[in-house]
Amino acid sequence: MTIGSDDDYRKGDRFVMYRKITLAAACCMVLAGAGGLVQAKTAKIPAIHWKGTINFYAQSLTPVGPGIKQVSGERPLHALYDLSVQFNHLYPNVHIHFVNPAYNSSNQAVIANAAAGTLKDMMWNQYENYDFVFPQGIAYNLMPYFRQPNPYIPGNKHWIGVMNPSIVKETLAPGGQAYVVDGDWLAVNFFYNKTLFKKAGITTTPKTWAQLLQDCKRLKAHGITPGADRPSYDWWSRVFLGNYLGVPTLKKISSFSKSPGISEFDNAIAYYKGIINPQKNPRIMAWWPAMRQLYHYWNPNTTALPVNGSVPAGAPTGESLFAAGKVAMVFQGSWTPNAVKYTKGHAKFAVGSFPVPSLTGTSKYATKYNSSGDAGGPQAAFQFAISTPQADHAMNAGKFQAALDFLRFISTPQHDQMIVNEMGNMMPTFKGTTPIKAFRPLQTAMTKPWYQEDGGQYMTAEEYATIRSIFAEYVGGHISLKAAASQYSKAVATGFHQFVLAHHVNLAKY
Amino acid sequence: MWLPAGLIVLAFISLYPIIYAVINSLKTEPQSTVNPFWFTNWPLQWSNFLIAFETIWHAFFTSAIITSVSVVGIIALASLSGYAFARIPFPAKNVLFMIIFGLLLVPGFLTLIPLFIEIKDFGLLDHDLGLILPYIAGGQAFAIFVFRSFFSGLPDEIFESAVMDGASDLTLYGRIVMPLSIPIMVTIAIINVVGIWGDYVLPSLVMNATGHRTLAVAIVSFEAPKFAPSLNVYNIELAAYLLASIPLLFLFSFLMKYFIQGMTSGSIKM
Amino acid sequence: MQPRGLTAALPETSARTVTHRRLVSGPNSSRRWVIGYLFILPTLVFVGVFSYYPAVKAMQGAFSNWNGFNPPVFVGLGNFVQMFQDPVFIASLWHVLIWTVVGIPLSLIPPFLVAEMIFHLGKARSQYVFRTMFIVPMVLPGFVGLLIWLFIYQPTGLLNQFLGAVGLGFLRHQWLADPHTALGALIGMGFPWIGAFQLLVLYAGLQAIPMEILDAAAVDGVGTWSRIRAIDIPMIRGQWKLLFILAIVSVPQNLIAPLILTDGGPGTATVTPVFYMYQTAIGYGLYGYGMAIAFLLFLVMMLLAIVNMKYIQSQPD
Repeated sequence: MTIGSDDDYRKGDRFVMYRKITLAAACCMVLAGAGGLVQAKTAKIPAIHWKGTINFYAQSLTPVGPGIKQVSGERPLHALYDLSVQFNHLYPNVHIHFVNPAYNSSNQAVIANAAAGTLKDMMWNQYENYDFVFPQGIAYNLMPYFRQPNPYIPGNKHWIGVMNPSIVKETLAPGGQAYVVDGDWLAVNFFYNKTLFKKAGITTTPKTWAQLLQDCKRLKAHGITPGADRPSYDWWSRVFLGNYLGVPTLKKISSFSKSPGISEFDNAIAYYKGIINPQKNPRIMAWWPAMRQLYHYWNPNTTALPVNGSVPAGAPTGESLFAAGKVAMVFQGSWTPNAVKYTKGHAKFAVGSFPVPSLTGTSKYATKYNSSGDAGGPQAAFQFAISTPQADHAMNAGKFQAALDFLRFISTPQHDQMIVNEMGNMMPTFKGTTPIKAFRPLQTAMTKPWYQEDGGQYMTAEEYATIRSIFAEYVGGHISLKAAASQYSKAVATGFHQFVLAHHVNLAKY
Repeated sequence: MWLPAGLIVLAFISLYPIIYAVINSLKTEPQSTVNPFWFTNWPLQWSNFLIAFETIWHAFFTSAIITSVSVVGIIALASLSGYAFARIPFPAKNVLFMIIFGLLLVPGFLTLIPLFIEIKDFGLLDHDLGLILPYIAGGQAFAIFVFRSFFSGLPDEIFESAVMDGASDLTLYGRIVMPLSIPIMVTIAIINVVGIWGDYVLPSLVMNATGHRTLAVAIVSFEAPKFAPSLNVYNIELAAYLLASIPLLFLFSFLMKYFIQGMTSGSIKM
Repeated sequence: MQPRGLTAALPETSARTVTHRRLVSGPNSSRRWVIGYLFILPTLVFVGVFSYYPAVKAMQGAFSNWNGFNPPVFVGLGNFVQMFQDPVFIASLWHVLIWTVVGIPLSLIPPFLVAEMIFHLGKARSQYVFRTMFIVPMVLPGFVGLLIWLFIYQPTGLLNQFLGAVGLGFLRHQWLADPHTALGALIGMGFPWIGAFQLLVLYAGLQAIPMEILDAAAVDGVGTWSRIRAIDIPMIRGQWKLLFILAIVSVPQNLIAPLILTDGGPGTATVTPVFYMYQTAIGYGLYGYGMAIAFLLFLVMMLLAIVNMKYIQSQPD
């Protein structure tokens, strides 16, 4: 499987031509058909009177450009830089400056910068952080602008109309604020080492959970470690809970608030009604033993790592062992093939992939619903917010308009696809976008209504960390299911209690 | 014979992190994954050091200035205060001492936000002084505590003749205490040099300009958070840490000489 | 040896240091106190502006509901009440107690033994070489050492391989992932526990013992161990006192190990108050609560330090 190269918008001759074009005069660009500009010309473009430079921390999507060199071994990105040049041609007074990706964007640094009023104007961060961890008020609520037309999309009535509704809902803060524009999807899949599978005599990828365990056993018998990684509650909970609850129940949970998808608000109500309360619904933890069976085959050094926080660079991880050809498979994000490809000195093998096999037989609660696409999600590289004047003293109304317009400019279906596909690790999510070839089979996950049911683990940041930790302790064999169940129930109950208090949820309505 | 043998074993264990860093700085990440403890795969990745050097060399100068000015400031101010607390009677001495000592009990990350706002309000962002001034303040409590303890241990008779000749406190401090305190000053300097040279969090906030950053910030830039492949950074990072440690090695061997001179020249007695 | 043992050893001091300990020798001037204030003035200015001002600002958060950004909402002692109903915090107190009681001797005794070993090497040259060798590891940042301990403790790591090889396979554990062993594993990390600062200070102390005392002991035929007990340990009482008090304030502040190797887990098995402070403030955005924990810890450690200084000072010299 090769990911990325065949879909590079700047590949080969096209790439060279494109470079020349962006450097040429604006009128020539229109003739050459640089997409965004043509569209922009046909739509009515707002005027920007503000002059100055917008600082943009784009994290993984930071393009190479003046002052920013390519990090060793990685593929240089250009899309955002090219778009910033186009934008500058439209508005010669507005410059976009990309912040060096080494910028410290840890939670501690973001909060300290916000408190001092020194946040960057446009920032990448995980929407969960904006919604649940960072202080409210450090980023603009973009929801009012989502409802307005995006002038850079011809004929657009509401910007939100080109976004994936399930994702918009998932990323909303409990008060309904949208702090980020979220434009990409991280698919999660099994990636496997074709050479090692062959060595163990496995010719077809597993279609059922029982086959998956069978293959693990086989690999182990051949002296091959079947898999490696830290136990991932986040991803597995979505796979299993979605399947065990089944579509009618998921629809019901989703319906507590108006829009599609499942938000933490829906989860709070679902908990209140007992649907995802582990003490009232045996389905909620019925899948944990299946996970323990699987992780039993995983490299114990990786499953023993702490699941919250980061481990020191150099510690054994699923990716590093996989790239070294030491384990047969990982259940990982869609960046994995590229991670192997761009790792210096990686083992020579072909990477294959297969979705989560059928869960039938994992427990009596398994349903027919194919939830393999529910793992993964919009927690990826295209999540951009605009900082408020309170958190960024360089921000003001005029600058906000300019930053918003640049955000609108890059958040069109066409540009979303261009930016996300160039990196080749994720899927673009705006309506009408097409992912790179390798991800096309996974695209169905996003086009159907999407139910990311994780048991309400995000109701508070504390609960989130606690649940992940309990899960890891259980699958690592350190505590019994009974002990895990009691701790888990307590954690969700506390999270629910605090969520209701913090967001003034009127339970009587439900 | 058992004495040197035992020491060699202990020294080897203590030095092992450096040996480990050397081994792994010459590998690719998959090579490290296979066996982090010894050379297993060839060829050695000397290019790691090249890449590391390119990225961090300009930060050497920034770090060298910040570290040296800060450490000189810490030692100068703290030794004066340590002398006063140890040998000059003045009102409220113990209370003032405990107030300074109490700073040892305040974890740095809790004061980070107010301190950062303060540095910004002084207009010192992206300026060396934005780090130097807080570092001098931050080093005081520990250094004063150690200095006071050592200065009060100096025997009185070494002061007596000078006092009878009418020497002032400044003279006593400069002519008698300082020369006798070289070992402890070296010790405190080493501790502070290491701490400031490797500090990451405050510099990562204060020094945001790409062309003007400290070593630790430059080194961590290899680790820039990425959804893109990022498996190549760890070994380069180790190479960078080793390069960054070379000036410290020279400094230590230089300081160690003074440490011995101080030992043998004076009569430090507790 | 327990920390108590160390402090108890301090009062037995030689006659020589006794006569001068209480005296302050210096110029006689009625205005001398002014000089004293002038000497500490620069320190007070720096510390006041860059240490105390931010610390006091931060500590105000202890009495408020604060997320680090929006204006704090005053809640009085609410955070403190909550703290003592918080099982994680209570557990963290036990952990730090164990860590301190075990960790302080670990931070003092091995450096002392090594200092003695180096001190007893014949040649000045080899003393220099060994001293340098124990200090040099400081040039690398701590995470490299932590990573090596991760490789030692991991399920197929060196420790378990060693236990298997010597026939103690039944003792094998997932040291950091098992709630029963994680705290012990963190405390035991850093073998052979030879801190460079402690080593330098103790070594300097040994160097300063007057030659005539050591010579007299040698003439009387005092053996190595008796000499260490009767002369070396009491003669460097100043150094013990200094290092002991520094250990009291630094051991409970050890944040990096649980932060990087266990993240306070598994469960809450390695949560210490300082780690919990970090977790609540940075991880959960509850700055006010984190500050309250800091405030309480500050008071307790300050009290401990004062008691120790008083106790040691009040001994008859």
